[in-house]
Amino acid sequence: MQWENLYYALTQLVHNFGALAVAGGALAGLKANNDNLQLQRKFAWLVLGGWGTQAASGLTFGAISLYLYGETPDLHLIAQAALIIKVACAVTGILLVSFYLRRASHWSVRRRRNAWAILAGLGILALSAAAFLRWFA
Amino acid sequence: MNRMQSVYTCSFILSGVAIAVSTAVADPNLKILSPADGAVVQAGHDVPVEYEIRPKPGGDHSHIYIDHKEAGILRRKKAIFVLNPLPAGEHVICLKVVNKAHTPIGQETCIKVISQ
Repeated sequence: MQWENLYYALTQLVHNFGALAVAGGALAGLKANNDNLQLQRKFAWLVLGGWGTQAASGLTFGAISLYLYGETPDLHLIAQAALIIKVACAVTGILLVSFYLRRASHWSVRRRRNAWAILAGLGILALSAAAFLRWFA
Repeated sequence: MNRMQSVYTCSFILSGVAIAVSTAVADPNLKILSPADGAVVQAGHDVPVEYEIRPKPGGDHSHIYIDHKEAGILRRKKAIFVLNPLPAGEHVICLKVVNKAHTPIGQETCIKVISQ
């Protein structure tokens, strides 16, 4: 029982820092000086790491349940919708920030700003969906 | 991801946690007080389900299911949950105790009702 709580708590800890990175990193990128591409790339790596952490820790939640009880969590329809939104945000975020890291040096300032705005929006949307996933499951 | 999972896997092995595979055995500490098993309920009317739950260690709250679809979350140990009207026919109402991560821990009970 205590071990079970510890597994979930450690996973939640990692998941929370992932959330901090995807939302905070994207907002920092949006606010950063647009001429400083090197700084923006650092934030982009932070956001990429954050989404990777979110995906991995999210899968780990399911894996722990599967390991301990042979079942994944039971989710109500509202929670299922929230989970789908979170997964969609993660996939879109990973693709967009990866694209940013490869191509942003050729982009206009406006295009880079738009990319950061979308990344920030994805982070905030995923964080919002997480609340519904937690309490409507 | 692989690194994190490896860490957890090692932790599981080191802690010697037994794998508890969930089973669908009815539990005396989990009761649907009404309607009774096999009861007839009125189609097109709300169905109040009175229950009493004493969760096993690890249980946090419960879920109620109608025909194996989750219909609600039960956070009280003894209360009445009102199901939406059921279409005519036979239906299965189940309660499952779940842990904090909403995973069924193997403590569950089910009844059948006939809506007409």
